[in-house]
Amino acid sequence: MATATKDAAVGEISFETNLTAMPTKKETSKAALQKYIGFPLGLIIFALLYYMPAPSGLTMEGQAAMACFAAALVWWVLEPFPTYVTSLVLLGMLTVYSGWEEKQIFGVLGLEVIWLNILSFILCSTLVKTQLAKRVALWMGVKWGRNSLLILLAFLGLQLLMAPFIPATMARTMMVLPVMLVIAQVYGSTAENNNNFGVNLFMQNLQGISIFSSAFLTGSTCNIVAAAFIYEMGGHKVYYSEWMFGMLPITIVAMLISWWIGPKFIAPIAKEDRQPRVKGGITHMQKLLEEMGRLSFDEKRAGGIFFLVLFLWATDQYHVGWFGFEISAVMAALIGAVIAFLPKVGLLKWNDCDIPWHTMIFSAGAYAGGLSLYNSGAARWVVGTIFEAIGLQKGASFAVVYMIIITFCMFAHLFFTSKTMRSIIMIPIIITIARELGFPPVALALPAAFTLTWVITLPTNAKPNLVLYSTGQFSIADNLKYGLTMCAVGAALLIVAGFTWFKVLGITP
Amino acid sequence: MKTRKKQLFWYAAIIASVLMVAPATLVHAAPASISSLSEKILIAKDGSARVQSRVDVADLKGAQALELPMNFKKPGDIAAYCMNSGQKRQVQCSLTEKGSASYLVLNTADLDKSAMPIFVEFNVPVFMKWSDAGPKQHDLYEGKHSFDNLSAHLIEKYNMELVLPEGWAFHKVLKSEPAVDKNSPKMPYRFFLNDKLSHLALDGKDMKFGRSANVKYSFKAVSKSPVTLVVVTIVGILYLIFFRDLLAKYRKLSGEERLARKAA
Repeated sequence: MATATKDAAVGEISFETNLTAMPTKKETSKAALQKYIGFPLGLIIFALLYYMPAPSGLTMEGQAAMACFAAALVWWVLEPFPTYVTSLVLLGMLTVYSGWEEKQIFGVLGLEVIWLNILSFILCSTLVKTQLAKRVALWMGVKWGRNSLLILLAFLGLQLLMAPFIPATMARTMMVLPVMLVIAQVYGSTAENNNNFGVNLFMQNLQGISIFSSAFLTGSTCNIVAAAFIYEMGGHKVYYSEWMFGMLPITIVAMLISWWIGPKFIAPIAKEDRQPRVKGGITHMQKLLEEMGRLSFDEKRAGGIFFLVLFLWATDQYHVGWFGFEISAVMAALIGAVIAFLPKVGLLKWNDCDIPWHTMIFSAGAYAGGLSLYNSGAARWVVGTIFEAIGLQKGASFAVVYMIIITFCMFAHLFFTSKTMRSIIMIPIIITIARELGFPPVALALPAAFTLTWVITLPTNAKPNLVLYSTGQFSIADNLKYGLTMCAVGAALLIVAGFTWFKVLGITP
Repeated sequence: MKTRKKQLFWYAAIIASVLMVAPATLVHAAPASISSLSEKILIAKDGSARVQSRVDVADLKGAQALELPMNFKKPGDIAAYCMNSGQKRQVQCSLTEKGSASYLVLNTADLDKSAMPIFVEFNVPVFMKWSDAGPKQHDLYEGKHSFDNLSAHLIEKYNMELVLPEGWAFHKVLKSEPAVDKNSPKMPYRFFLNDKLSHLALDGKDMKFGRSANVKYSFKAVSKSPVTLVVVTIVGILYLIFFRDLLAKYRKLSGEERLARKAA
């Protein structure tokens, strides 16, 4: 993340990044109390879940995985120690208590998603080193940076514009990340000393990336999987336009609400942070931009590598037709990274790369926890148990059933991290429930499917979340607070839409 | 030429006759399909098991006998019965071997559709050897069972249910056939508790000759070592004692923040 380097004068922007180093956060009373309570609280939760009699349907492996993950979740949120330490502890606990197999647990660091993160940061480093990120950030700052709300809105507009054309969420994240780092600095927010502008900027982009993915059928693989189930089991073909007309307005309203309530209520931006704090203000940024002159050869090369990778990410569905094989997202990033490192052709040496290794360790623990829940059947058990506990009986009104299902689906990602797996497990259950209760399957399943990509409460919920979290601009507690609020907003919007807009569209009866 | 044509005609006639007769004989020779076969295996603490099977056949097709695969070693006390007009009626049965395969033959000569299902129960003296099963790492034990359909009957639906003795619970399935399909919402197996006993049920379908349904699983004792609880308690208390400076820091920073807010 962009940090004010020690040598930079107060109020000046640094265009260097230093994601490798763990930022030293300013201490607050709340953080001190959380640290004191957090560790014993996690131990208590672990002991309660581990020693309780295993309920029907849950294996001993699943119970152990749940206990370990629950403790880790408490420690990640309350941070009695750094998040990467919690992840390491979780890896150990899962092994000792047989929550998963040791080989699988440590193999998580070799997963595609970790490689994708590492390679994406390498690509990001090309933009920083060549100053292309600085140019884009200065341009955005000059155009829209007059006040905090305007620049936040500009980023939301950018996310909305990119969403239908670039389904790959990591691509959208890496495109805006270097720019966000600089803009955060313009408004006085750094890793060591972040302010609420930084929290809002990063949180709203985190939400925009995921929430706008729910606006389009092709926004995520899980959407397509859900649509396939709705067709095969529910007998209703979901068209691109039906999905878009249904959900796009909801996402726009939701993000506008986020843009408005975030800076006012959730993470109120202090008065002094509402205007650019950079020395000289917008005029100075304009001057810096003019001083950069025309695009340099290095910037053009960096842009070329980056757009090659973005192109491959955005066109993955056509690769088989073009090349005879698909170039996966991680392979596309690998190609870009290799080009970036090549002598004479490339731009980077290893010491130029800025990779937050602590985030990779944190990710490994998070993925190990999530995968252990899935592989042990614990996640599936939780979903099934909750649906049973809801006690949806014949004769229940559509309104009640709809509200319960939307609310549950909106928050299910908290314990069931994989979007595609939620799609595979939950959508068929919902279609079955609809049939048993005599409702059209699409009336429940399609709105439920709209919630699948709302993975916005924790850094571990999605790859872009982890990347943005690594900048140190927001804490897990910030993420949880903002994310839970927006999930509640999203659920409310979908519920209102279920009785209004979706009725007009013919989705709900 | 004429002779050649005549020869060809007779060859064609013979082949046609055989083809016309064959289906009829094949139809008569086709054994009855088993609509469903379920096996409940109650494992005892000494490693023996009591097996309770249920066989359903929609259409016996006048078959004299049902030949069910016997995948257990040295079964004893075999009893087979059906319910006929509310009355329990014994069904004659016997064990037979063909090569390395064993079969339980049920005499169905005077049974009809209303006699279904047929219940079969028997003991298996050694279903699992505890010394071979474990304990392995993390106090885990391993077991497996395979149902191989080496009979001529197509088994449309098969269900295997393993029940552990009291005080034991399933840890996980290590391998199964049918295997887990990541793209399917339905799992081929499920775990559940019934009368405080831990059950593992595996479903198979359309099991033709040679098809198998099998499961390899791990399990362990339900009771957990209190060591973890003791360690967790001690560590928690020690943390609260050695990190109590965080409380002092909280009080100090709270005061400073309150003053800063007042000043602002």
